[in-house]
Amino acid sequence: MSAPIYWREKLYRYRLVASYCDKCNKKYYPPRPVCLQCGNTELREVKLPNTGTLISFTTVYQTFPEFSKLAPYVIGIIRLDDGTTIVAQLTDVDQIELKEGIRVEAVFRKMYEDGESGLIYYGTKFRPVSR
Amino acid sequence: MSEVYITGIGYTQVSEHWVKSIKQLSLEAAVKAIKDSGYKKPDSIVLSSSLASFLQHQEALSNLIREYLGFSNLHNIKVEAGECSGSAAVEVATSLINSGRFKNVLVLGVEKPSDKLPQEFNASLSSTLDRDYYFYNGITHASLFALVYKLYMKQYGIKQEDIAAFAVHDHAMAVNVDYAQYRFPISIDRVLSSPNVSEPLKLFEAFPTSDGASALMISSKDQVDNPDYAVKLEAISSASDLSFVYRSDFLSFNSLRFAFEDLRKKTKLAKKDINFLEIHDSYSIAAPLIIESLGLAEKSEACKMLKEGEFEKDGTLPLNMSGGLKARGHPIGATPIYQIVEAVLQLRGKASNQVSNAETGLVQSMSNIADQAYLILLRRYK
Repeated sequence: MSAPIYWREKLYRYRLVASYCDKCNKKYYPPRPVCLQCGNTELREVKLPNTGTLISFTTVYQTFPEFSKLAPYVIGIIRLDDGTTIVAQLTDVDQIELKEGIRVEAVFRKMYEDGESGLIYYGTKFRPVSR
Repeated sequence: MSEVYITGIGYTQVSEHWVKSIKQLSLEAAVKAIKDSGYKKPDSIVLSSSLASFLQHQEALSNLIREYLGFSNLHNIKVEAGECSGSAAVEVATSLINSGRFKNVLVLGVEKPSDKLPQEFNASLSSTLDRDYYFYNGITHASLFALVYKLYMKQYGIKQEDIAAFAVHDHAMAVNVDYAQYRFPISIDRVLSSPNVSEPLKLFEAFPTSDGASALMISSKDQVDNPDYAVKLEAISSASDLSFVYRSDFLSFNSLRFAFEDLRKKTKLAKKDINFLEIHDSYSIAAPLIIESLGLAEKSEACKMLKEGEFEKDGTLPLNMSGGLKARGHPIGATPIYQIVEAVLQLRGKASNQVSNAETGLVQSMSNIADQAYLILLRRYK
């Protein structure tokens, strides 16, 4: 990936910023310019809640070269507390038995890096909420 | 829809062709299709390849292949629509003929992922999903199916062995199919004890790395000179769906539902008229979701239908007589054209797992997790 591609997308990657259609009361993450239900182009940015519930998860073993050092890692479907569904990576799960229905929260984490001297890419992952 | 016919087919063995290039595979399939058509000279080549720009770093591929096939000057175009590129290429070729511009169009699908390491193939396949989101977050093609796999088992109380049985079915069919990649049976225990790709999805539930090229000569009606061999392209329907992350129901493929509604509107097709079905079962779990989204099984019933033998050669809905994506193989841009090749063989009465009295066959393809889908209905000429 190149610096420009990375730079222009960083807002929604660093923070859970979605686009919101007032007419449909529908939120989109990742954000998009046009509502998929009504065609509204006047969507506004809203911050999504940082907490939600794990709906389904999978441990990924076969992956891209950029993520192979990280594997196995977990991808989950998360229903945030406002009802928005997102698909994201889970982290800090080594000591935990994952189950559908557990509470998770968003955290800022490194995603991958372009070799020893390349860019380091950051984004949002989710971790189980400690009780 | 149309008066467009398939007058020739050609294909290579699906395999890992270490010693052949993307061009050599294309040539082999194209020459066979031209020969099979009674040596028709195509007016155009419509090429389907989805990943050559990633895997071979080659663009303008259709013009390159045109020259390699020995045509010094010939209309050509590449069509790309992810894993359903081949179906889209057939659609474009059909339109070129229906418009009256051309009489014979060679549709050629080719892919050669074995030129790269499996991880790089995996990364290239992620290019058919929005890389800004899915790749960036480490969300693989297989992981989406794995997420849905768990939801399906939970929602309907179905065991993994009943879903993984679709891989066993594909292998059982491929044993007889001369062009299939894996011509051996596998047991359910072997499938379930294979390594995880993205748990619960096992390696033997996932499509392999497949190289191959397949070709069709598509012709206007006046070009049909062998009615016993010609197969009618009765109808093509396509539809699309929201990207996975925006969906509200993960267990229904809307693109397939929309495409099938459109197809039935165009053709008055009744379910019982479908003599055989080729589906894009890139992973075992895709099979029940496809069959149920098409309405050919009630929700949660597809695995039961498999168990009861309804998808066998002599069942009510013969499924993947070619061996499907698991065992025939999945050379991405060529896959839908291999599916159509199998349908043509069935309708000619020359298939390895021949369905008796086959008159109408349905071919289903899709990209990713049904982000885009195609249905192609084929009918015997006579």
